[in-house]
Amino acid sequence: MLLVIVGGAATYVGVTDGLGFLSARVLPRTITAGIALAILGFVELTGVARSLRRTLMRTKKDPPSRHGHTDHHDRPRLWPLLLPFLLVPSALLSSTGSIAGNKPFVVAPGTDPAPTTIEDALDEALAPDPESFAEHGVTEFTMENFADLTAIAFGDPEFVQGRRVRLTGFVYRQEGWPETDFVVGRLSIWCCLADAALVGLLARGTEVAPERDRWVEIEGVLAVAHDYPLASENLESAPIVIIDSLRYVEAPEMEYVLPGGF
Amino acid sequence: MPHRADGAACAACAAGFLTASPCSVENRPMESNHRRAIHPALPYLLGGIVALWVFFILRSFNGIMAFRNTSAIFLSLMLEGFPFVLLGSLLASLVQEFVPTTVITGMGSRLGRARIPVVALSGFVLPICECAIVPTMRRLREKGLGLVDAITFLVAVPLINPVVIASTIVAFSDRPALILGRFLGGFAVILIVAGIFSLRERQRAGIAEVAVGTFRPRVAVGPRILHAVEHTAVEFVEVIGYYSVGAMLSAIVQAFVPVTSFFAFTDTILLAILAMIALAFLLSVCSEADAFIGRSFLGVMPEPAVLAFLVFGPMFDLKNLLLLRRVLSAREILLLVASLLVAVSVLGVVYASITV
Repeated sequence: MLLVIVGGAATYVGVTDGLGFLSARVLPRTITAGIALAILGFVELTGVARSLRRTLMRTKKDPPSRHGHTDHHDRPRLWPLLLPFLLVPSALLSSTGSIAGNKPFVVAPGTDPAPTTIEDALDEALAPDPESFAEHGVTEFTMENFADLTAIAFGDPEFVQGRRVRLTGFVYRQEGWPETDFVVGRLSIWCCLADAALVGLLARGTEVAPERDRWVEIEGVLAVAHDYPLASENLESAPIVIIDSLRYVEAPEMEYVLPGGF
Repeated sequence: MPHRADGAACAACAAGFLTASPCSVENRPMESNHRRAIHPALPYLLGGIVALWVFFILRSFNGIMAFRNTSAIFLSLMLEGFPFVLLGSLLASLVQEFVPTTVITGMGSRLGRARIPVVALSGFVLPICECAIVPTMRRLREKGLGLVDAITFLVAVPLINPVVIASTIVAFSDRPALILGRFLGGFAVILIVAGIFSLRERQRAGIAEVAVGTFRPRVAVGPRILHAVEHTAVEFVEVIGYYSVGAMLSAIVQAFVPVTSFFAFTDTILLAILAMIALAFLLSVCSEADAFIGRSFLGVMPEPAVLAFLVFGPMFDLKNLLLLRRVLSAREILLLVASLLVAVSVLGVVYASITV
């Protein structure tokens, strides 16, 4: 019985809010599993398999129905399992920003490709919309290229210096950062929310940093910064967006971005 | 498998039920082999975890947010894990049903020295996620798989399988040394752990593994498949109970433990390695995804430490610890943890000296 409910719940959540918890890559699996579970539970509940088996084996003798593995079910005790499904999942999703709070900030480490490779990488990252890439145009950060572009920018800040960018993300700050600095970030997930990593760009240019966890869209020019929060031995210089315009926006349909390399 | 203490076949099981029944307890070398579906302590464990969770929430700055975060992560872990646990349960049931014990117990004599490496590579044939590895291992043990082989299976399959290899290559395409390190080094760790358990087995002479026979009347394949399918449901319910406890713990760790605090331990390479091992244990990430999480650590932790994370993670973590208590004795678990800890640390240090 439990299986039917759990399977059904999983399928329902998967179909409605699945993308809030899982990447699109794994969602079909979960939905399939949910359906399979529900079917399995149904089969068990109604003893369909057992009667089918009996028919196939054509035994006159009635196998003791409560024998063997069906005996030792202590089923009721796992009902608490349903608890998370009962809490309306969509209500849980507005906390992207705070989940990011505990995650490490991915700075696309160690990729120091030669300039030609960066251009290739840029071309690839912008492939769906190559028009947006021009020295004087604006490079728009999308769900597909967000992680890649930030990786490229961190990989060689001088290379991307001077380009104009526009990106949407939530405001991320840590204690002790100067008021002028913050990160516009997104969570990139590979399979499920549990493996989310924070990616984004540093931004500067407002007198007071916007509110934490609020979603903003910024547009500005990339510069190279040497003194900024998160500076460390590994990361002497970083790209930073000098903001021209900033506005608060609603969280986008798809809050998460694809991890780099895709 | 159904035998009474006096060895006679249990007539009640003769009607074609081919799985273990409560009758067969006495013959087994393992303790507590009753086919209880759920360990009686599980509900209390669940309750305890929930209490812990509530405690953390009340203590945290923003209770509602904390509740949402942990619930979201927990739900995502559950949703993501369902397919794998289901698959693992199905596989375990099929093994239970179709793989004759003689194949498993005969493996030793047929393969000889090559046995351990072959088991280590069985992940290519049975790509099982960490989540479902323990029930499958248990089934194999019940069929008579030796302890050393089972341990090898446990640590090897979640690491050496096509899915993990693929995700590692994708995540670290610019660092081939790390990819090689993960798999070759991981393989070495597996051999070391297998070796340690082998030594122990030899020392414990006299405790023979009993080959448990499978009672097999002539039953057609059809009903057996159906039986396996039914049994999958049972298996699933069992495993998902433990898995959910592990997922809850993992969610709590993720939401409340600042991962970044682990990054402070960079004074020495060894300290960084140990910190990453600890993190791998606590985070209990699915072995498919930990390549990407590991990637995100590269900016703050040295490569050998990330390697340790990548090797240790699939082999052992909080989630599996709970599940393992049903298959291995406490001492065996301790030995496993200790050997893994030492082997992976050594690997990390060796890697550090090679690549610098």
